[in-house]
Parts: sequence; structure tokens; C-alpha cells
Amino acid sequence: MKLGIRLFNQQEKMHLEITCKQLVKKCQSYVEIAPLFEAEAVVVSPKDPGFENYLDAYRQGKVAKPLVYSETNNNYPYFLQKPVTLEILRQTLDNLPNRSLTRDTQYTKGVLNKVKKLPMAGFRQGLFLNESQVLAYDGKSLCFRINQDYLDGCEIKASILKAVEQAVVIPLSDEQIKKIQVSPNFKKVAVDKFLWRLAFLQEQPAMVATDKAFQLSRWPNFAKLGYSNEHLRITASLIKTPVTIKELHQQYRIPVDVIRRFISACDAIGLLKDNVQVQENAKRSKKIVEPIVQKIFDRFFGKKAY
Amino acid sequence: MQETIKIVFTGSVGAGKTQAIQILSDIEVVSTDVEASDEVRELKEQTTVAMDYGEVQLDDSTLLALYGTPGQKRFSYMWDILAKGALGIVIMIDARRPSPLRDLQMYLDNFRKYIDESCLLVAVTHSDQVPDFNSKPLQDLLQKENLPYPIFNIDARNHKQVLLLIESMIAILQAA
Repeated sequence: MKLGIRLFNQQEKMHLEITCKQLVKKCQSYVEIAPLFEAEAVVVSPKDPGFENYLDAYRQGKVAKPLVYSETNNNYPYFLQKPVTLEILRQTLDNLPNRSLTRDTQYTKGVLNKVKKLPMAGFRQGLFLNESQVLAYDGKSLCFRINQDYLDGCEIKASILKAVEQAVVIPLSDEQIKKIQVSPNFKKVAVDKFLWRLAFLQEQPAMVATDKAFQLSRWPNFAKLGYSNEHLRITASLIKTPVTIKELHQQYRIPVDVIRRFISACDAIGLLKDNVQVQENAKRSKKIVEPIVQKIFDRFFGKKAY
Repeated sequence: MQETIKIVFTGSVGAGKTQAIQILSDIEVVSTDVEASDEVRELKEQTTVAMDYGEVQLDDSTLLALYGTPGQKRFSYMWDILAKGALGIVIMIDARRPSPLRDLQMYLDNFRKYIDESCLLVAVTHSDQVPDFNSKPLQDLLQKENLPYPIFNIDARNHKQVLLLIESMIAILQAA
């Protein structure tokens, strides 16, 4: 049984993943967590944006069966009681019909203008045109154009594949593609800029734990991607040593939401180092802002950095 | 008594050092340009042989001096003089040059001791004129040299993009 999880509440998602792993351990690969396009059933929450779209897509046979994760069952086709326990998960999966959607049936035709608003990460209406760049269209739908040669030589290949993996892919006809390309709203966006922007456009940032440490492998190219002063300060800190969101918030008084979005954006373009931990002997002390640096800031940017 | 601090702009010939200083400076940049007589002439008519100088009055008691070094290595005797005691070093690399990577390596080698005492920013210019330009080798070089500093593709004539260098330098110094 391949189970996809499309929950935006990261705590809920983590809890469900742990419960699945416990089930695997006790039932010997009874269930495995799979990418959405491979999943036979996908756990979704009525509270998440895009939920209704997903149900619509399911009714049209485009996506795997939705396993609605909720406290109450409002006549959902498939339902998973929240909060989930090992026993609830086992019983629910036991009772699911055996018929599985194949990968092919998830890639049936659809129309692009079904999307009513900018899709959330993890549920993107997309389009493959086999070209070299990602394109944004109309502010409502997202069109991917990915050339395999480009992808193979691309530094952020893993990030792109991850985004594509989570997308609901709707192939368009040649006529539809031509129509899009002559649209006045049609514009090209470099792939990293696209992923970067997408991370900031999410209605809610990824709910990563505030006590988890992050470190950047290198500076984002802010001249290309766009930035705020907060992003520069976060980067200058994260580039040196692993830092938690909580520490950044306390140190710079930057809102947690802003830090989370920035970290999501860096993750999207492959700038986060893996498995970093705060080094106990590298505790940061409250910095004494050099008056001279502050003077330069005030002179050029006309406001206090702190 | 007035305190003077300085930021040094170095890098390849034609990368836009003089232009960047001009954007930031309160005064008209004082240049020691002469007519180019070597291969530089293909890039521009005049080149800096000693230094460019601009300044920003931060307040009554503090002056920020902006120095631009000559690009050619044969004028490298000026590099040490100018870089000593700098608050930050900006290396500007012209993407149109035959080997921007080799250029960056050369400037890192020559300015390393000053970078270790301050901070570094790398600005790549004219990359829009090189369709296949890839800054990854430059980033890899900084990582190899254990220099966790930014590389930005900028236009030295663009006020906002030049200010990005200063704003990033401030962020780096504040996090130090």
C-alpha cells in the first residue's frame, strides 16, 4: 500500500509519518509513504488550501483517492479519524478498497484554468513542455518547461524534481499551449527564481520546528532573486554556523514567519545543508553592533538596522 | 578629529569598479586614469593606474573612503597599500574575460590576508553579455577557500544593485 501525505500542518504530517513507520515495523511493509504521484491513497486535510480542488480532481479520476484526515466524517469518500493512532490507521487502511489507481490514471487530461488561485507548494497544477525553463502563467496557474539536458546539469535538480513530484501534472494540447504562449501575461522566469518566489508566495510557510538548526551552503544570489534586509541578516548568520529559528528570532527580532519562509525558499533552491546540528561550543553571544557599521547603514539606508 | 574607514574595490579591468564607487560617493570620483595602451584598450579607452577615490561623509566625525585599485597585476604594488585596514573588500569580476575563475583566484590569493581581517563580497558584472555564464565554479572556489561570502551578479551602473553590496557587507559585519 503506497500512501501519500499532503498535509500542510507539519506537526500533523510528522505524527502521521511516525504512525506509518510504526505500522510498517509491526506489519512488515504493510504501508509505505510514497510520492504523491505514486500513491494509491493520499491523506488530505479539509483545513488545507486546495482541498476542494483535490476532491474535484479525484472525482474526475485524475488523482489518487483522498483519505480525508479530520475529526468528523462529513460524508467524505474515504476518511481517516484524527488524531490518528496506530490502530485507527491499521483499520482504515484495512477497509480501503483494493482497487488502486495506477500512475497513468493520475495523468489524465485536464484544463489549466481549473485553478482558481496560485497553488500551494505540494499541490501545483503544472504542465511539461520539454523546454529549458520554468514559466509562470497568469498568476493563477504554473507551467513547467523542463528540458532533460538542462535538468541533468542543473545544480538544483533535486529541488526541481521534488517540486515536480508534488505537482498534479495536467498535459495540455498543442492548441492550449499556443494559446498560453501568446497571452500578454505569459513570462519567463528562471527556474531558481521561480522556486524562490513560490516559497514566499505560500499562504502559510512550512511549519518547521523552531528549535531545528539550519545552515546555508552558500549565499543566495540576491541580485537575481530579490531580497529584504532581513534576508541578508538571516543569511549572514546562517552561513557561518547552524542556527535555529528560535535563535534567529531572538537575536534579530525578525518574525518567525519571515524566517520560516526564507528557510523554505533556500530549501527550494537547494541551499540548505543537510543534517546540521547546533554546536554546543559555538554558542553565539549577543553581538555588539559596531557603531561604525551602524553609521554606514544609517547613511545609505536611512533607518536603524536594529 | 575625524575617523576614516575604508572599503576597497578591486577586480578585473573593465569590471566597473570606478562606476560602483561613483554611485556610492558623495563627491566626484578622483581617478588616476590614463589612456590605455595595452590589450585593455580593446575594453575601454582609459584605465586606472594608481587608484580611484570616492568618499561618503557618515557624520561629523566619520568618513567612509572608497578606494578602487588598478585592475592589472603589474600595478599590484598599490593593492597592499590600499587594502590594508579596510573594513571590507569587494572583488569585481568581469564575466566577459577569458577566465573569470582564474581572475577570482588571483585576486583571492593577493587579497587573502586582508579578507581574513575584514570581509569579502564578489560582484560579477557583464554576465548578461555572456549567455552561458555560470557562477557555480566561482562559488565552488569560495567554498574550497573556506570563504563563506556572497557572489552577486550585478550591473555596476545599477544603484540598487551596488547598494546590495554595501547592505550585505553590513549584514556580514554585524553577524561577525
